[in-house]
Amino acid sequence: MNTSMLSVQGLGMQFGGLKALSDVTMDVKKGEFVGVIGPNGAGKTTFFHAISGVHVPTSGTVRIGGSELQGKSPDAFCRAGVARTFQTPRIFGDMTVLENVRFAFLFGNRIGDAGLIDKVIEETHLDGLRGEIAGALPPARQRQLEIAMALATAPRLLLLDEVAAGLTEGEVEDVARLIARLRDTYGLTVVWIEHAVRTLMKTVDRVAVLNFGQLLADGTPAEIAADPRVISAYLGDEVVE
Amino acid sequence: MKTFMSLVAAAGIVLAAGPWVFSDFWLSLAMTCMMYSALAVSWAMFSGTTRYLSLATSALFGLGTYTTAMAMQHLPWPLLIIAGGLVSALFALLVGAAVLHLRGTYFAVLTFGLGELVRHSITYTEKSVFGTVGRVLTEVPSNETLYWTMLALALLAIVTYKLVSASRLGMAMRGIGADEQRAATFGVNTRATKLIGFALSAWFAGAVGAAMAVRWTYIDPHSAFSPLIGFQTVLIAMIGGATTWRGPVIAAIGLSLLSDALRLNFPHAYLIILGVLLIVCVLFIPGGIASIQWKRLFGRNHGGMVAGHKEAA
Amino acid sequence: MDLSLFADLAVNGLVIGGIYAVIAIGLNLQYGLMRILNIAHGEFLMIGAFLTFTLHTVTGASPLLWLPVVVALCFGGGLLLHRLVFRRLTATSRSLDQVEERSLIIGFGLMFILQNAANLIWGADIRGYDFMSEPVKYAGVVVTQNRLLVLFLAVAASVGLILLLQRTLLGKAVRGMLQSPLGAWLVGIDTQRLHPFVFALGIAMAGLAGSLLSMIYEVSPNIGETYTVMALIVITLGGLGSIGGSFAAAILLGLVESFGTHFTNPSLKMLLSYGIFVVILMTRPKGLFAK
Repeated sequence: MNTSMLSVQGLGMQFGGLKALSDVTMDVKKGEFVGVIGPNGAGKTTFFHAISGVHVPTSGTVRIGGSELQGKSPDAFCRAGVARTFQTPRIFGDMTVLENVRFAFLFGNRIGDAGLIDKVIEETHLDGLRGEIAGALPPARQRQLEIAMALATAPRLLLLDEVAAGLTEGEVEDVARLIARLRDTYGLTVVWIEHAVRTLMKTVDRVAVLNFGQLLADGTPAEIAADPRVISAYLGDEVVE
Repeated sequence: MKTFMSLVAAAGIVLAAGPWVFSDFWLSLAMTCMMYSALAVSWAMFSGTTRYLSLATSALFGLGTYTTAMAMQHLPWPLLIIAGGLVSALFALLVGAAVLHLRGTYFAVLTFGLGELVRHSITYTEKSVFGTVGRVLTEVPSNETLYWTMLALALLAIVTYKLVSASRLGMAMRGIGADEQRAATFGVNTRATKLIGFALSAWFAGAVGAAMAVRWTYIDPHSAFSPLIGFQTVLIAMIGGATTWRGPVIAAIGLSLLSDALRLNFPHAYLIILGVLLIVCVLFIPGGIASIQWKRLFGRNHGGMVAGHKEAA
Repeated sequence: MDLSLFADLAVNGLVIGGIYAVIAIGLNLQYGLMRILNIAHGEFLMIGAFLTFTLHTVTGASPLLWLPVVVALCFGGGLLLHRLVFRRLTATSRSLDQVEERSLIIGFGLMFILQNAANLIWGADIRGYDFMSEPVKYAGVVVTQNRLLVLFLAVAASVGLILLLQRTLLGKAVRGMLQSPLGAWLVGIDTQRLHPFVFALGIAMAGLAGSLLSMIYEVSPNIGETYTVMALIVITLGGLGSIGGSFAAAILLGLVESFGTHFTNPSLKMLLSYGIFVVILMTRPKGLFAK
């Protein structure tokens, strides 16, 4: 009966005097495709850190698939089905592309069909680059690699942090299509942080807006685009179609 | 892997003939080479890959020595060696459980003082509980036995290094060394991995210490927990290349020969030279000798893993 | 416990705590600022002690006179060391974590160099000299003059340094760098010149601690390591980067050591301090006084 994939209640993250996140409450159902937007410093990446075990929240709870996980180690989150990418790709620079994906598969995948490794490499367009040293790849390729590695862990919840940064509008659309396709192929729940708001709003089911560490608004793309608070805080008039 | 094992076996057979070929002097030198090979390779296995620098080798070695000193009468030689290793491994687990979940710095700092701490504790315990300052080993095995034991330990260390390198544990440790938090997000249980790696590495230090105990007939805390052993282990591993097994072995041989030549004539100066060597190595050849060789021979890395771990394909 | 025993233990604790404070603050400056984990730090204490000993016994002049000289020499030595070794280290490291790791190994090597150099120059024997060892009576408490002097100087040096950091422009620059190296650079603080200065200051503090130590205790070439370990324990207790925290933690540790070993056993001094260290690492790794 429980269709909730990610559920945070009153999530707070405080660093000394700085409140990076305060009282964020949100629920993401299985299979949903949620976008997270907001100005720089709004706490989007901190939010990801808090729901993937990288940071221990100073208050509030984090539930993945119904189980409370806040305070647990990142590998516990991985076992619960969470996979994520980072704003600056964190891949194992001294290993090859194939070894990187193998690593993620070996440690993150409980189900274990090794064919997945080849499958995700193909789907992220890395097929000809298997033997390349990951550290030598351009950033866009490294982002693709991170997605491949995330997929190799057979996750339920995929967290993507600005995977389209620095791309042209056409390329951003490609990325959006890729994510949507991956979501369908693997039956994933996806939460996607992105600054390319226009494309994001066209692709996702729902949008959450963070501002100064707080959840400003949470609704369908249409609702968010029309929300005056969001417009004044972040979108400005240009995005409103 | 099969070729590797055959080579190891062959080396073992060839070197086993040592006692009949070498003079006492060369035999003794060979034992020193093997001792430091075992120590440096096992140190590199954990500290070289995870980058959690352990300065505890002296403490772990000494614990092995003391195991022999105390249990010599009660255990047959092979079990004695294993027990010495186990005592150190257990100690490593305790220490690791306390601090391995923290940053590498805390671990290094803690292991740094361990040598002194353990030495003080043993001195105190010996005096108050056993009423002794040192212990005398009465019946010691023959020199040949010691030689073969050291040979076995050195080869075992190399084989273990290779096997671990190719295993899940090795991969996990390399992930930790590259980006620990990231490895954790991919499912690596970093705490357990570090504990096992550290304990495994510690076993060798303890076993070597247990064996070498019989080289001195009189064991006291000062000699058993000599900081020089830990220092030379780290030095050899760093100069050789802490991410390989070949580097430490070559450096162990080279340094044992060098030390022997210098030690007699310049007992303090040679240690100063070694210290300078270590600093120069860290500043100018951080990857050790092994890194230089690979670059010259193969140019760019061809799909190898973390520089030097070519064994783990 | 009668008053005189209590006072004796208290003064002892304060004195040793004062020495810990001086050496720990020096180490903290180096680590907090540059992530240089100089585990040879205690060796500079040893050098300071031996230099004072030699200068005093050779010239007959009071060690107090030689104190500033020794401190200046150590400062100079620190500048040289930074120029020769640590400047290259920070320049060739890709991250602060790497600086930390590599400085650890370098410190390890440095430790062996200094210990053996001392062995070569002064021999391995324990050395000491008598200085102001006449006791003084105050409010029913008997204490030797040299201890009081050392306590006074140690506290003065520590407080002086803290004031320097708080009140002067230079000190503010250093504190700025401690908090945010990038921010400091952005506002125009000359980090290039301040790094060697702070590093050398740390070494000078170690030398000062050693000089003071030589006035009340005997010294030998291998005392350094213990003090390095103590300094590390102190800066962990007080919080890395917090100078005031180091001061407080040092005094505390000195007192705990003095009273603790009286009730248990002097040989367990290390075990006691280490035990505290491990407990703190396990419960409050950011230190007792961290915000």
